[in-house]
This record gives sequence, C-alpha cells and structure tokens, in this order.
Amino acid sequence: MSQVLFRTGGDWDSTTLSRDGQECLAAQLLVQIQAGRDGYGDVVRGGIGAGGDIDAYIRPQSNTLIEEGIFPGTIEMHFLQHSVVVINNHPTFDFQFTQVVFDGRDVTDQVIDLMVNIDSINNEVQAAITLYRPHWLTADEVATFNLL
Amino acid sequence: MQIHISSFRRMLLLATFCVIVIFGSTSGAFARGGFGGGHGSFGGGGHSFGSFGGSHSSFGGGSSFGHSGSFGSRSGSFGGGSGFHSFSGHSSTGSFGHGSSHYGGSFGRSGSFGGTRSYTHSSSMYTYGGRSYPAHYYGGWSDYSYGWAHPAWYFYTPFYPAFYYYPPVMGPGGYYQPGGFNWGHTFITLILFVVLMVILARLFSGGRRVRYTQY
Repeated sequence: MSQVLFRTGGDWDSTTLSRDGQECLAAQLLVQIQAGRDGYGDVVRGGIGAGGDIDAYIRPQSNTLIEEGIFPGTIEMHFLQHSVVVINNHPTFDFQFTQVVFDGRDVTDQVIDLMVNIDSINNEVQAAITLYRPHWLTADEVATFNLL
Repeated sequence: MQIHISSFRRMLLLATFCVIVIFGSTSGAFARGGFGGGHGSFGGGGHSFGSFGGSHSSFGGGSSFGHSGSFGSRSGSFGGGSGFHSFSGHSSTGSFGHGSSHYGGSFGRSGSFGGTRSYTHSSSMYTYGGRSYPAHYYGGWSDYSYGWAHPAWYFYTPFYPAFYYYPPVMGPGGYYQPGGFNWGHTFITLILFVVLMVILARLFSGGRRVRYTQY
C-alpha cells in the first residue's frame, strides 16, 4: 500500500509530491476517474457503484516513459481551496472498492469525473471533480468543481 | 214483545260491536292505532275518557256507551250483569262496563296494545356554564345529521369541503357557532398538491432532467 501526498499552492514552486513519506521527483501526476454513467454514456446517479474506470500513475523524472501505479493505496491531493482523497486498498485494485472523499465528505456515490493532471513536461495542469447531485423537487445537478 | 225486540236489538248491537272488537284485535288494525290511537286501549289500562277512534281513546267511557249514553238507564254499564266472561277484567271508569267485572273493557291484558316505535336513543347530560344540558347521541355510522361531535372519516380528507373549516364551537348558552375558515388546512393542502404535481411530473415527464453547473 502506497501513501501519496500531493500539495500545491498554485504554482510550480509550491507544488510537491511525496510517496510513503519521501519526496517524489515526478514529471507527471495523473489521477483520472470516470464513473456514474450508463451504457449510453449518460450520467446517472450511483457514482463508483454505477461502474467506471480509473487511471492513476506517476511518471518519474528519471524515466518519463514509466508509469508507476499509485493503487492499491491512498492519494491525498490538497489544492488551494479543496482537497480530494482517493482510496483503493483492494489487493487487485478492484474499481468497486474505490472511495472518493471531497473536502472531507464522502462522494463515492456521487462522483462522475475526477481529473487531476499535473504535467510538468507539457506544462499542463488540470484539476476538476464532477459530482452528480440529485435533488428532490428540482432537476438533478451535475456539478463540476474546479480544484485549481 | 216490544221488550223482546228491544232486547234483541241491544243484543244485536252488542254482538256487532263484539265482532268488530274481536276482528280488530285479531287483525291488528287496532294495535297500530287505527282504532283508538297508539296510546288507547279498550277500556283497560286506566284510560277513562275518550271516544271511539280518538287519539286517546278507550272503548266506552263517558261519551259513547257509558255513563250518560243513550242506551239504558243504568249509568256506565252495558248489559249489566249478564255474563260475558271473555270480557272479564278489572273495572274502570270509561271502559266497557262500569262497576262490574264482566265488562272490564280489556281482553284480559293489562296496559295498552300496539307497539311503540323503537329507536336507539341514549341521552346524557353535559354541563356548560354551570348549567346542565341534555346531550343526545343517536348512533349510526356517520352521524352526519346529528352534528359535528362525531364527524365521518371523510371530513378529514382534503377532498371534502368541511376539511377547510373548523368545527363549530359552542358559544354562550350552549349553542353552536361556526368555527370559521381553516387557513392552515388550506395551505397544507396547497403544499401537498404542489408536491404531488411535482412528483407526478417527474414520474411521467418522459425523461430525466439534469442541469449542469460549474463551481
């Protein structure tokens, strides 16, 4: 089980990545979750329980062609105003055992998309999470939160 | 001979009345009050006045064949001591026979004949303002006609107009006054109606509505 901690202050200088308590010199961090969709690709309620897929790896600066997996394990990502924790401790990395916590709240049953791409090679940064929030009287909401 | 004819007429008249009485008693026509009323009796039961067919009738009495009638000189009797044992009974004024046990005016029964209408009626007293008033409860399933003390179940449904009014309140003197319009029930009904419409619209809208937001 690996413990990955990502922290950023909004620029490259304040962005750090550590793995199992030691700083990890990485070229890219990618955490991508797609869930909460039906067979036609339309969003539905259910989150992780509705099925999906996940990509999570680290490209080290020493060899950018290698993708070091994060799971099974835990990754904590702290942004300026938000924080996301993704946990999957299943030995075979079963998707159904993924747990997502957003700002301290378990959104496993609501998450539709999670996209965190910190790519220093191409100087690209993406961080957003999309949740499906059902409402009783009004229409259901698909809310996207920009993490950066 | 004239005496014989007169006696024969008297006997014939008496026999006619006896037939009428017996027929009436057996057929039940008297018992329903058609012949003397519901409270009457044929001389029995202590009714001492009335006439043949009156509301409080008895058979005999002061007006027809009794005390001051036109038959015979003896007051209040009809045949005197002749034996009609089937008409035995206790004697009373205004009955069929006076002072004699032979024309007691009843058929060996005491009391009146003919049943009275039976109905369920329980009464109790309630006190209001230091005074006691009779409270009537007539039973029944809905008690709709007898007041709001026991309203039917559909009074509590929003489909019934009475749901939107308070029940009557008892004012001074024990009289009921209108309770007024119930705005609380009205608003609750409106809210439930809106919620029901939303649910139905979501169920039968034919598609799921999703709005996309970004924060």
